[in-house]
Amino acid sequence: MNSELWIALTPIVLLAVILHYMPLWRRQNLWFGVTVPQGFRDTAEARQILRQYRIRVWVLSAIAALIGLLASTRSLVWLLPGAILVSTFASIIVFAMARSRTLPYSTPVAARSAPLTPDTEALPGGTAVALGPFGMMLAAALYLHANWQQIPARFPIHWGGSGTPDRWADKSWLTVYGPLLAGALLNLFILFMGEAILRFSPRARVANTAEWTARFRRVNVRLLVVVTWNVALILTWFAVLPLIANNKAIGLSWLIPVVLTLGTIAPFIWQLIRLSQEAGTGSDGTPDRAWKLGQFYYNPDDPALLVEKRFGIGYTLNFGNRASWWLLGLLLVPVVVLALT
Amino acid sequence: MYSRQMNSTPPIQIDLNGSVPVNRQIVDQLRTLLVDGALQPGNALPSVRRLAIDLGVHFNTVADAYRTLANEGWLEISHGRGVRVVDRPTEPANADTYHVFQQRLRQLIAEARAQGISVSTVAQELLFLAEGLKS
Repeated sequence: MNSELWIALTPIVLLAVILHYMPLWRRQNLWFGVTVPQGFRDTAEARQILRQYRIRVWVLSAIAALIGLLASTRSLVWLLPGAILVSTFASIIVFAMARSRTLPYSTPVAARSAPLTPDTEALPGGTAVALGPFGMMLAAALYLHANWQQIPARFPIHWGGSGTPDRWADKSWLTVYGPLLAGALLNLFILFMGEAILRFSPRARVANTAEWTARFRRVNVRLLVVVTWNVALILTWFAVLPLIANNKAIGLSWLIPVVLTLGTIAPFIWQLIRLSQEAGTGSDGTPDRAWKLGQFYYNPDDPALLVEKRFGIGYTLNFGNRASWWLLGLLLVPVVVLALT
Repeated sequence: MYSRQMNSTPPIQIDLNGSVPVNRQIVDQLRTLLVDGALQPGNALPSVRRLAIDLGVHFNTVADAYRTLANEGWLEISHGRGVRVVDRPTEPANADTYHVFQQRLRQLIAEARAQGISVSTVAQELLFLAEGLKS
């Protein structure tokens, strides 16, 4: 098998495995994005819905893999992203189908509960931990500036799996400092999302779930802070490569930041999965009808900007909140700027 | 990272399908906690934004509820310092206040009696609750 096929098949298989288990990674009173009574997930109906969902996931993943295989053997490279797209869209449809089968068992919770305490949460580690990644990237920028003459006029910006350069760029302020600038912008956005989870998402809406929700939020926010350090590390490494690699192959050293990233993020993901397995996690207190296809939250009556995902781990935007659209628009700005530069 | 007050102060609970408007439910519950002493002068309450997001209701609903309690002298709302419980001297009720209270109580007792709760139970509960609330 060639490397393109591996690149296409790996995410398809990985996505299928994640989708296989993902319905179990939510609060106990949620089943395929629907609020259900306590203990519903152990009933025969729930198991049947899960079984059917999993069969569909694997059948559609197999179709996507076949498309990938076909694309690889017939040299239809353009079909490879199509295979991944099929897998992704199929997951949304399959989930929506399972959700519609669960909806008749919906037991909406009309009662809402909220702690009577002011906002006291803050990003873990405070300002120093939040600014650390920016300091790392600033130091790299100063190092590059000090050694500007040593940077080759043309240097590699992409390497194959074996670490051999396969794409090059001319030396300019954008190609040299671009990765660091992108890292700084990305980290600003990630930190904003961390703050937004703390400030603009509900702390708990269902009675007796405040303590669990606090732990869930804490792990999510810590994960985001860890991600900012990983982003800074990877992009700093990438930015200084023209100086240290001296236009030669980098071997498998590119695996170091990848392994480091996976190694630091995995414990948090595992912690979030374990948290979802705890008893008494209840529901999230958002109305079922506001979840479009079970995955997209649209509720103009809810002032929250972010709410817990009903499928997957973490938080999602409330598309009924106008600020969400401003935020998405803001995300497009760097993309447009880069495209015009 | 998390305040100790979270564990010591009981949470507020509302029913979105209830017949009582949500802002009234918030006012009633907070007032009960204030009279009961569960919320003491100096305690900080969540901001309007925070409580609205936590309950999933409009900001104005919470702002109205806080304003009502501020007008009654229970809360102090300031932009920089948020919402705080203040010391509120209890003054003897005037005739109007007494009349409104009597009307509300009358309606409530009529509702309880209509649902089959006996006179003695109503009387016992009233005495128990009145003595239970601290101020």
